[in-house]
Amino acid sequence: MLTVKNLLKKFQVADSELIALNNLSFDVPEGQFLAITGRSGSGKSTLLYQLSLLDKPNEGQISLDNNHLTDFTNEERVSFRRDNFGFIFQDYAVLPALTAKENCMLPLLMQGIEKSIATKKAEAALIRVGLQDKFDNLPSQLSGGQQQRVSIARAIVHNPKILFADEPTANLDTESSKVVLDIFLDLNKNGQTIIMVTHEPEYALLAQRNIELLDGKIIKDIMLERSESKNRARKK
Amino acid sequence: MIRKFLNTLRLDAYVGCFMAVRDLKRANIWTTSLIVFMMALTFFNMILLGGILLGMAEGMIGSFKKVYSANVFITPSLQKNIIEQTDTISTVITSIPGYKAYSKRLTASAKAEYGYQTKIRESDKSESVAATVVGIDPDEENKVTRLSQYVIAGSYLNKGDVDSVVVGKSLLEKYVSGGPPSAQSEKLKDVDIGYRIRLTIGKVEKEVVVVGVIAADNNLVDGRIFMVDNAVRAILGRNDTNINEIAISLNDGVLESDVKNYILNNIGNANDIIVKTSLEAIPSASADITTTFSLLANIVGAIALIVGAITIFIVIYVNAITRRKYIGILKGIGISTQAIEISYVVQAFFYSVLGILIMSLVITVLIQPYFNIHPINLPLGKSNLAITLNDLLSRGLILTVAAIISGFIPARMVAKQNTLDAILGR
Repeated sequence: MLTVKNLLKKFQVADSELIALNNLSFDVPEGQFLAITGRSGSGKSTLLYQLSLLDKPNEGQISLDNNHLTDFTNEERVSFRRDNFGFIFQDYAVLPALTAKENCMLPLLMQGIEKSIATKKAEAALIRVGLQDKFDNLPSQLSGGQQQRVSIARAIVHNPKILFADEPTANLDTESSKVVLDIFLDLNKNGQTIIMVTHEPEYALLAQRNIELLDGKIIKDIMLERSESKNRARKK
Repeated sequence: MIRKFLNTLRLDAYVGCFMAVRDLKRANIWTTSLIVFMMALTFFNMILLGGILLGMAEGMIGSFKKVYSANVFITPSLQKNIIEQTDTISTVITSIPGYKAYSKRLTASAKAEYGYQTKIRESDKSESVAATVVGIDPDEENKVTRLSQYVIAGSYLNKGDVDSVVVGKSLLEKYVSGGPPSAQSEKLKDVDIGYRIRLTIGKVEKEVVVVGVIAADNNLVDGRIFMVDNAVRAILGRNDTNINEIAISLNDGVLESDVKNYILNNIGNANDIIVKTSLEAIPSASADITTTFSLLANIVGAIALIVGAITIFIVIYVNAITRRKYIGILKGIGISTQAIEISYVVQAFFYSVLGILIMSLVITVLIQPYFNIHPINLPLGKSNLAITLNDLLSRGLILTVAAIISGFIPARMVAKQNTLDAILGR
């Protein structure tokens, strides 16, 4: 269970202070697929960065299974993120000098997993996202959708407790977006907790829950009926 | 605690190497070649000019030792003009452990003239030059300095040649090419082998025949006139065995300083003589030149090292800056800062070691053999390229360490930046 209490994030812009996240509190139970939506500048990506430990809030508490993540040092945040979180970036963020398989192996090697085991796990993750014939391809040899799938495989290769996705379909065409979202749904069906930021309302409907932000505040927090919402999105 | 630290270090090193190897393998071949070429040139810069300067210095030192002073050199003390007690000294020298040979030299300032035969009036000019006449036992001298090997025209002296001389090439214009006009004016212009010249030592004149010309490529030796010692002694009108110089050669491995101390400890009146090792026997001007050359070699090497270090710093910094976003992603997916730093350090290590190896090969296979065949001719001796394996290793190691530090600093600067700022390019 991910617990967020009174989360506050401020930015200094010139002489004034901009409140990006204003006293947010909510829980994300294990196995939930949460979509965070909102207009541009509403604070949804900022929230994701705080939750995934890529950034540090000014005030408030983030806890995962009784671990107070906001109290961690920088080094602890890096290792906790490596062991417990997976992160999918908007622009794929695959490493250009590494093949698809090596991209997926890297976090495992950093965890101290043997190379042969890391190789098998990376291959399994790539098969899971449908890239069984692209193990040794460099990112430059892959399409945008395929690169995003490599990014997903890298994020799930170590079975993270939470999978964070920052607008994962923003740079993809409709077909590739559907493939990516199908992978998310499949992962979630198998118990994977997912927190996804998206500005596409129809993709948000695929999730079990939708939190909508406006000016750093939660203006809507609703549970969605999975099968209904999925069908609605698919029809589109 | 220590085990945890070592385990973390092992993991960081492994992941760092994993990334570095792939970065290098998949980098643009021309970019990599250019960086390696630049490192090779930096190493070349560190080694070559220093090697030439040190070669000159060593050439001078080696030349003096080879053709002038030998291993140990004895001269009269400043209060004395000559070395007395020659027989006692000779006995001590022959008892030196590791003694090989020695040569006693009797020297005198002289004027050498040619063309005096055709002078009709006292005011008519003849060719003349001031020189040091050195009386030697030709066989003894040959054992110590192998003087006969340096005869470039005519022949070497024989023991009975009381009317013959071997002249250093610097005194004969025919054997000197180039040089300033002022220097050329102090040479005997028309003299060659078989010519008769007149030596004036003090008020005594003697006609002698030039039987050989010496070119030892050492300005001191090449400016001397060699004659059999008995003949010089006769000109000077001396009946004693006193002399002015003793050059002693030793077997390999014998310490010159030990022999110096041995002589001083075993001679009755050590204050009457000055005993020098080959290094101490180098004339002060030449010693100053060698010291200056050594200093210059070190300065040039240090500048080349700084330039090389700055270059690799810039290369790694630009590399790291352009990959700032990827460094952010690496940190975002949980790769430690240390692993990222190691990755860049390994790349810097690769560039420097490859550059050093290539240039070491070029130096040892091409440049050094070329200088051995075509040494630089200097007035004070021949100069080769003074580069040893030890030089290559030590300077290579210094450059590698500098490259590693220069690779580490920019990598650390970039890797320490805020992860999110790096990812978002802020």
